[in-house]
Amino acid sequence: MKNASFIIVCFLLLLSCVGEDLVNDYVDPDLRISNAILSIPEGIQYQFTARFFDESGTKVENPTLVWLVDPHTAVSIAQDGSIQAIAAGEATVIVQTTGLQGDIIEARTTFSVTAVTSTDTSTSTSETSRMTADSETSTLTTDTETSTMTMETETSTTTIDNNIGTGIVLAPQFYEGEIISTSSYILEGNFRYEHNGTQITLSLDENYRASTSLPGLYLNLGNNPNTVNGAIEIAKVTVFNGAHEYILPPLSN
Amino acid sequence: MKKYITPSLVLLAINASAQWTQEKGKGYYKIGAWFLEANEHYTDTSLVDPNITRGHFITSFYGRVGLTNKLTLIGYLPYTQVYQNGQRFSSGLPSLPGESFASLGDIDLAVEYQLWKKKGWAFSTSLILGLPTGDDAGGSDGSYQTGDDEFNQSLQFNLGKSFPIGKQNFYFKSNISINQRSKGYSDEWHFGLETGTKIAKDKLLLLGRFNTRQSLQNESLSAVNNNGSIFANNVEVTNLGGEIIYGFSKVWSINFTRSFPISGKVIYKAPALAAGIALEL
Repeated sequence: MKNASFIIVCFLLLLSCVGEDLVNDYVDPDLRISNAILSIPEGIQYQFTARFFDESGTKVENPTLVWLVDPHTAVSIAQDGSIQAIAAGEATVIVQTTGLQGDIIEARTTFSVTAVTSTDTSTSTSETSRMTADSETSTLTTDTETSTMTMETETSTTTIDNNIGTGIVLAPQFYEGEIISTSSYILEGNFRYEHNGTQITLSLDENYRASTSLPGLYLNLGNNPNTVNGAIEIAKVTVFNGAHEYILPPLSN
Repeated sequence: MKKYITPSLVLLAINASAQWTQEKGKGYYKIGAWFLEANEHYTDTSLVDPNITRGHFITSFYGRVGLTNKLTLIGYLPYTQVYQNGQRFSSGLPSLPGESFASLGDIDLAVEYQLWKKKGWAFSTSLILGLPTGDDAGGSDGSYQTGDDEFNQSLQFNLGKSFPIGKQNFYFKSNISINQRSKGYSDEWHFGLETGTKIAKDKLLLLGRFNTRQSLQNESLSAVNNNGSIFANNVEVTNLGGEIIYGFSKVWSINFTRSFPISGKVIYKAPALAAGIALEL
C-alpha cells in the first residue's frame, strides 16, 4: 500500500493539464479612409489613402481597393485614390474592398469643392454663374462646413501642415466616444483619441471610472475587443478615477 | 486589459476538520488531490464573466494527531500547480502558448481544543495559522500565484452532534470562524455546515456540505495600492458540496469530493473535484 500511495503522488505531481482554448476573435472587417478632408479648392489634386482591417482586426497590407466618386462632375478620381477637384459643390469619395466572406466593404467621405475666385473677368463671370446655379444647396453646406471648419481650426491646426498653401482643409484628426466595457467589471467614461502632429494622445474624461478589484489591469491598443493578441500594450493602469491621459507610441501608417 | 482571477485555496482541508478531536496518540493522515478548472468567474459585481481557461491542481498532505484527548495538532501541506490554457484563434492568427507554474503552496498549521463533549454533542475551538510559504508572483507575468504572501490567523468554533433517525445514525457539524489577514487584505468570516451518515455496514460515509466565505471589507488593498501584488482582495464564495468516503480496511479509506459555487466575488465559477487516500491509526 505504501508503494501504491507513492506512485499515485508522483503521478499527480507530474500531471500537466495545460490545454488549448479556441477563441472566437471575429470582428467586423473595417475599411477606413485615413486622411479625410472637409474641403478642397477647384483644380487642386489630393491623394486619399485607406486602411483595411480584416476579420481579426489585423491591418491588411496593400489591399485591393476600388475608388469611386459621386458626382463625377465635381471630382475625378484615379484608382490609386488621387482626386482632382473639378467643380464647386459637394462630393463623396467611396472606397471599396472585398472581405474574406466575399462581401463588399466600403468607406466613404463627403467634402466640398470650393470655388476659386479669378482675377480674369470672363472666368469670373463663369464662376459666378456656376455658384448661383448651386446656391441653395451650397449655402446650407457652407454653413455647416464653416462651423466644422472652425472646430477643426481650433482643435487640430497642426494637422493641416501638409496642405498649407493648397487650400485643402483636413478633417479633424481625433475621435471622441464613450468607453464600452466587454465585461461586468466597472469601466466607464468618455475618451478622446487625438493626433497632435506626431504625438497621439488618449485622454480620459472626468467621468472615467474603473474597478480597482483586479490588480493587473493593463491598457492595450488594438482593433479587436475579443483579445489582446496583436494589440500594443500601452501601460499598466494606475489611475482608476477621473481625468488623465496616456501618450501613445507613434503608429505606422 | 489583463484580468487575473486569483481564488484563495487555503483552509480547504482545515475547514473540513472534525469537531471530535483525536484521541491521544491517534492520528489521521491523508494524501489528496484537488482540482479546479474554470473558463468563467464571478466578478466584483457577482456577475459571471468568461476568462481564458485557468486551472489549479493541488496535491496535499493533511494530518491530524491527538496530542492529548482534548488537543489535536493539524497540518496541511499543499503543492500547487497553476496553469493557463493556450489560445487558438478562429481568425487564424498565431496561437498563444499556455503556461503552468508549480510550487509549494501556503501551509496551514492548526490546533484544535475540545471545550466540551456530552451526550452526542461536541464543542471545540481551533486556531489556524496560514503561513505565506507559497509564491504570490509565479509564472511569466506574476499571475500564477500559489500563495497570497500574507500571514493569517483564523479562530474557529466547531459544534457537532451525532443523532439517530430511526435505526440510522447521522451526524451534524457546524463551524464559524474569523480569519484575520495581514498586508492590507480584508478580514473574513467563514461559516460551514455538514451532515452525513454511514451505510453499507458502516463502510461508506456519505456527507453534504455548505460553506461560505465573506469579506469584512475592512482593508483597502486594491489595484490602486497593491505594490506589485496581484492577488485579489475581498474574495467571496458560497459553496455546496458532497463527499463519499469508502473505508476498505480498518485503517485505510478513500474519498471523493465535489463542490460547486453558487455565488461569489472575484473567484472562479466552476466545480472543484478532490480525491484522496487516508490512513487512520
